[in-house]
Amino acid sequence: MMRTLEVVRIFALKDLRIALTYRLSFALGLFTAFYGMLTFFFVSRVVGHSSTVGTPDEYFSYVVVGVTLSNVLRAAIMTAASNARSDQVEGTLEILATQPISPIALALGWSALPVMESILEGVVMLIIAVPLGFSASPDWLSVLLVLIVSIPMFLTIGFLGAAFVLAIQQGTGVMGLIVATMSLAGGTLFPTSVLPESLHFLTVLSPLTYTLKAMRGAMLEGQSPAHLLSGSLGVVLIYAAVIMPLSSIVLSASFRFARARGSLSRF
Amino acid sequence: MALEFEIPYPPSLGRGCSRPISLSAQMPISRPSSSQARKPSGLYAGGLTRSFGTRTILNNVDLEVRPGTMAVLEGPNGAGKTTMLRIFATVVRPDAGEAKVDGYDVIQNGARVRERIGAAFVNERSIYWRLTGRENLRLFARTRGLSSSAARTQVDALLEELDLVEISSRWVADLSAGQRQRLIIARAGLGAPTCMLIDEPLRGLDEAGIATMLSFLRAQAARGAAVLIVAPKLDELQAHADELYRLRDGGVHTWAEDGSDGLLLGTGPA
Repeated sequence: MMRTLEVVRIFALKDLRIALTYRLSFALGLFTAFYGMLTFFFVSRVVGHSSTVGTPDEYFSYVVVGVTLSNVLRAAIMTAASNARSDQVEGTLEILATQPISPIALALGWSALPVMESILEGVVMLIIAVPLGFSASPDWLSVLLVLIVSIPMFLTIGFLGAAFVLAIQQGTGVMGLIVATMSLAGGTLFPTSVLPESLHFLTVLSPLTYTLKAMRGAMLEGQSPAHLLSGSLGVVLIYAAVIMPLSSIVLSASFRFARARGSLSRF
Repeated sequence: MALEFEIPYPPSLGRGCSRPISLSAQMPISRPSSSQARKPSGLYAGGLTRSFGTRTILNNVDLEVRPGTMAVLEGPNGAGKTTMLRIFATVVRPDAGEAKVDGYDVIQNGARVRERIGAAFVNERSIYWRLTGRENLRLFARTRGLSSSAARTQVDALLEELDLVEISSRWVADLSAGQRQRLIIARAGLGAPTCMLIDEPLRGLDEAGIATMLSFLRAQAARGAAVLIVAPKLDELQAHADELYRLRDGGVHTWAEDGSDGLLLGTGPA
């Protein structure tokens, strides 16, 4: 466990060093967050005043929590695959596979900095959103609990993307499709009740649905950890109990498959 | 003291035979300890076979590189030299036969094998170009499990040994091909691995770089590492190797000075 955390730290620092050589991208990320919040603010002025989403300010708060959390979870899901692909294309994957590090440590290392960046960006987005009318009554312990439960779970969903990359040199597209489906069905931008009946099974299946519900409960309604655990966050925990070991097994198997095929250096 | 050892391919067996035979001889080597006897050290391949698609790259290949030995495996492009290295490095699995590193099977004990090897393949993109040479080495030193201070010490020593100190603060992107090559091979020395797998170490190096590299590789063997080098041509490696082999037609042959397959002649420096 300590060794895994150490590897994650080493890779996060490596990615930070490389990211700092592209200083402009961080500043551009902040501008993107600012313009994103402005966009959602004006959209809320248009779509507010309805029985489904409430007043413009209520919708704005709803969408700010949805977008901020979804961005973090998107980073958790997508970056293992995209960074695995980068190492594959750039030629560093094969030598990493000769190092005495476990596939899980490597996959977590791939995701560590992007997830931390997305959390920082989320904080910036919330700060920008406050003067625009974002109002919340957070239970910070519940907010923290939702993050602690959901981020590792979504990170391990991301292992599947890395596994695809290792096995068939593709994966980011598949994970993009999964993220888009979960965002559509999970209620990132609008309540799931507006979806047609035929898509409700996606809402029920998507772990993002329960994660967003838990975070909105924690952030906007100040629900307690016990309340969340007995409801939506409890469902997320069940997902985590199934997905985390399963994804870890699939990731390790994909490494074995790539070694057997001799395809670690292929792209 | 009579000890068992193996030589691959005596001339009497004829070309194409790659099976080793056992001989008894007086050998100036130390008796292995009981633990070494259970876990033979160095690199060992027995009956190694690997195909890609319908093409058989390695066919029933045997090879052994003992600790403290610098062995060079020469062969034409596409002969399977790098595949052999990759099998020992656990990034390609053999279809048949076995490959062991310090007695650990590359399939059954991959994690143990990876703790013991230092590998360098021909791929100048195998390092991070937007990090400096020193940052690259420190990163990989830490992935090998070295503490921060041990990593710093080893990286400094390797940079010194491969004459890379002056350029160690530059981005890899700004280095020449030869400098990158030395950096990649320096990385293989991190953690003082017991077995080193080096692909074409002299590629792209100038005369001074070649001398530095050969000295580095000899030093690795001198500290007790089993060093397996593969190259399409022997060039300067011939005079510095302890053992020379040729990989051709999917099998390993010893190499004779006149260029024909034959009994091992290259003995390297004293």
